[in-house]
Amino acid sequence: MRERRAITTLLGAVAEGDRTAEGELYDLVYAELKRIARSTLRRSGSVTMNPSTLVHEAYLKISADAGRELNDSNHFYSLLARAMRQVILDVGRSQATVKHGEGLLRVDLTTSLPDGDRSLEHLIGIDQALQKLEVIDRELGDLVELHFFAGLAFAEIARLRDQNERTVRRHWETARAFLLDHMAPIG
Amino acid sequence: MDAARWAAVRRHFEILLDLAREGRAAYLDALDDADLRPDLERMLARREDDEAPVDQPAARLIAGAIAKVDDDGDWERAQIGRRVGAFRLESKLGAGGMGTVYRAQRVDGRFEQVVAIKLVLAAHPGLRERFRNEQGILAGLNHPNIAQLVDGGETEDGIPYLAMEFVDGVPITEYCNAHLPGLADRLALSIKVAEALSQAHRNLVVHRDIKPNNILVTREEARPKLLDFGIAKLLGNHGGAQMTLQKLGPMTPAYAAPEQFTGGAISVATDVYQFGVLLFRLITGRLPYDADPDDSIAWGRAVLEHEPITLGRALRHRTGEGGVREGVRMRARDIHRDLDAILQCCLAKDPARRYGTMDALIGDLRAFLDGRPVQARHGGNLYRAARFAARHRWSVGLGTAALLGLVGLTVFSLVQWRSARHEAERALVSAQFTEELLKATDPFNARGGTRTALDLMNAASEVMQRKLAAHADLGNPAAVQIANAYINLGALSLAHPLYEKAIPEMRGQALPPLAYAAALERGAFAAQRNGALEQSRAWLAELEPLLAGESHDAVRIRDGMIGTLWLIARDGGKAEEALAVAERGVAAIAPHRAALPDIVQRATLRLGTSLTDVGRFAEGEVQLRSALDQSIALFGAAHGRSITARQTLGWHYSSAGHPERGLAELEPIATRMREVFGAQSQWYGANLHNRGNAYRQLGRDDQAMAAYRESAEAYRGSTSENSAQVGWALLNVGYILHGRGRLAEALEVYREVSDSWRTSMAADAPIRADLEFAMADAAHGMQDGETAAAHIERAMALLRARPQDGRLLASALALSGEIARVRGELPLPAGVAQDRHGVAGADTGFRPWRIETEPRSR
Repeated sequence: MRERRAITTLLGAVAEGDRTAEGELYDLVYAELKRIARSTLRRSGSVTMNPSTLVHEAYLKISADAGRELNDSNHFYSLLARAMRQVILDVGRSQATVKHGEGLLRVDLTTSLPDGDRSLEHLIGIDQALQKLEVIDRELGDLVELHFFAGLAFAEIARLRDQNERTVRRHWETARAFLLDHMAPIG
Repeated sequence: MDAARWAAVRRHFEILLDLAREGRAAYLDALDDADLRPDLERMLARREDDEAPVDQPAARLIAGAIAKVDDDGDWERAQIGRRVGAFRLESKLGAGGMGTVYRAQRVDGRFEQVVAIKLVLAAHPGLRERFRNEQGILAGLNHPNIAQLVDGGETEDGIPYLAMEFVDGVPITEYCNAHLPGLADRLALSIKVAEALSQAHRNLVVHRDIKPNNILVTREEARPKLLDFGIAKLLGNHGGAQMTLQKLGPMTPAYAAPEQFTGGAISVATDVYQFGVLLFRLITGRLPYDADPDDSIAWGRAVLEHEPITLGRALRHRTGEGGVREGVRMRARDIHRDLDAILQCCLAKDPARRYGTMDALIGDLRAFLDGRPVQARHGGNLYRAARFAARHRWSVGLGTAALLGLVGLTVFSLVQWRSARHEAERALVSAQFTEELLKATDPFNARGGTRTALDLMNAASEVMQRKLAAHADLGNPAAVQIANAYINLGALSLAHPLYEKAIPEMRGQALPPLAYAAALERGAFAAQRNGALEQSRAWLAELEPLLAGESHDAVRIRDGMIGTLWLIARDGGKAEEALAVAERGVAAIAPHRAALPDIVQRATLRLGTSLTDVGRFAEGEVQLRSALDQSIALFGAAHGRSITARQTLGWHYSSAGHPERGLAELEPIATRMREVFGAQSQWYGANLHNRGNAYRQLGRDDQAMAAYRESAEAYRGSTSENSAQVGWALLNVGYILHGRGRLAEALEVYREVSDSWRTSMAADAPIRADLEFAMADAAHGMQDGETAAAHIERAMALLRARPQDGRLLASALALSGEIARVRGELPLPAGVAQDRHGVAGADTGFRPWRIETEPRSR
């Protein structure tokens, strides 16, 4: 039974092309993400999407970008959250593709969905607003990814960023307000 | 809003958050930068929104979307009847990893066509462009074993689709389980699949998703068709570990190569790996690792870290159904290991250690089916002599044939002449004289010592010449006696002309019938050994009706005749026929068992030899042991006949795949052989030859070569003028060298063989074709195209006349094609290709291959 290396050491090793480190990292991330995903979906009842699918897809996106310099856990989780965001958007789109009626595939906020499901529209809207935010405020943009897309709780984020929770909450409030302000009205 | 402005807004906003409502208004009033106020106010207003979508995790947003759907199949069913490109969707065929497949009809009025259309869902950004790029490549893939891509594009609502040739068939595993129980058949089918992959690779397309469901075998023609070609590449690539994606991933983890798990480069070798897994599955009915493929982590780890299960183990511990039910004959463990080597070469973790091309893999599969050695096991250009010999047991076993023939002679007592007219002859050919002559020339009673057989021969012939000279008018009977003596000594080339002269003259004479019959029989034997087969047959035909009656002499002559027929069949490579003759011999002697036990022994020895020749080893052993026991009982253990019976038994064990037991019989008698017959005798030569065979089977190649060379020398120096035998022994040396890759030396030796056979081997003897083939192969390996071409031509000319060995002809044709290709002389001439068809078709153990006589036009 091997000692699990600290995630930062692992990241460093992975960056150098260490295949076993990658496997270990995978296990570690897998566990973390499962936890995250499960906690975000717990309250939504039974869901056809398996949390581990989310996890895997996110991880994949990250490992696809393996060349990047990964300096610390914070950065890593940010990367993860970024990946989660991409995945969720993709999945959201694909679900909309499959599940909705004929003739519909455009992800266009002006189009209303026949059966009134707005989830995808909301998602896209948030993403678009986020795209505006992250350009001018990296910190808040990251926060939105970590909290909204990756589903990390404020306490976790606070730990990650070495801030206190209240500060994080305040930041979230700010970010939220920005997002909502920049989202096109729906309906 | 720019970053600087936002920084200010944010600063203020965060302060505002902490203030009560009243305080906020005051703060805003007091702002330095008044035009930030509207932003701040708006944002504050947003705080009133209680249930904004951004308040729940994004994943839950999607979860909600999913949960709202009632029925997965609704949308998919709704597509039926819609128009997609030039087609209309008719029915749903199935749902794959990346989308749903429909059966569709062409409805643009151009012509009738049924296709399979795949609607590619979950298409992520960037896919569409790559899709368009790759379509052109795929459309150009043209092969009877690839489901043709007919069309592709996007529907009006932006769903990419692919229209493919509709294949009415079942997955290859299902097909094999239902219709192809045998290994050879399954491999032949797989080769077709491999050829399709090879074609694709030539077009720079890698399949990447080879699995049973992607290979359908048509119901009508039993033709395998590869589907989803390059689709994995088309729809690729979320980085490496795509197979862990349950929803979006198109690839089956079960067949995925290590590099597909780690995100390494995908190449031709990836297809080779996947094909290897497929092959493994078809042969054994299971996958090559023990983990559960549905558990992606455990399975991934197994693929990356565990060695594939060996063929042997997989077959021994079959789990579930599937896998061949017949055909993996374990008799020769070599063969089994070859197939295992092929599989291991496909399944190597490092792509660089796998077959570099599908063509190389196909080459090895064909070699395996042919009984030729495989590159995977032997590497490079090796050619294992043992495997070659397995197809040429005649050359291996022939060492004892001449021996047995000769064994018969010395006990064959000559007929007494009772013709009054030839008193002088009788005097000349009196029993006593005959006895003396026989004794003088009977090698079994000779003591090697200082007198070699040649000495005996010379002494005897001296006597004979004197007597002939004294009674010049006596002619034929004396000539016949002398000829018989020559046969005894193995000087068949001397005996033959004497018979040729004497027999026609005897025909008209009033001789006791059996006298003439005896001459015919011996003459036929001498003729056969001399390669005058027509004459031999003619004399035997003449002989048969003369052998009415059951006198002991008649029985003896008959047995002699049967012995000659047996040798003719055996020398001609017709083992089954020889067996029939041997059985006939046993039946013929059965009524006389008590009176003629020595003939029984001979018949038993022939029967045992034939049974071994046809592979009925257990029965052969029984007969040969019995022959040995009989001989010991009749003549004693030290007698030449007992020794040769033991030698035959040793040869049997060798042939049956127990070379150690063979050596246990052969080695102890070697000394005795030399004592009894002399070092320069064919009997000693045969002993050495058989030992060479055994050493070779044990892999003791150096010892084998030494034994063969010594054997060749023994034959060369013997009086038997069995230079043909010299060639046999040297041929085996050549095979060993060839097998070691010492091609130049092998070729040298082959030339020696060829020289030695120039006069002593019939021009159309079957083994010549093997020799030419071997020479062509060696020359080809040395890149001497000219020499190789010349020899392979000769091989084929010889083989065309030999319809029973279709496999060697097909191999020769294959080699011929190789040689021609290297020399830039493609395509194969149509005539040669037809040969291949005809040949392969005639041999029912051989599945016909598709032969291309023209290069495919693009």
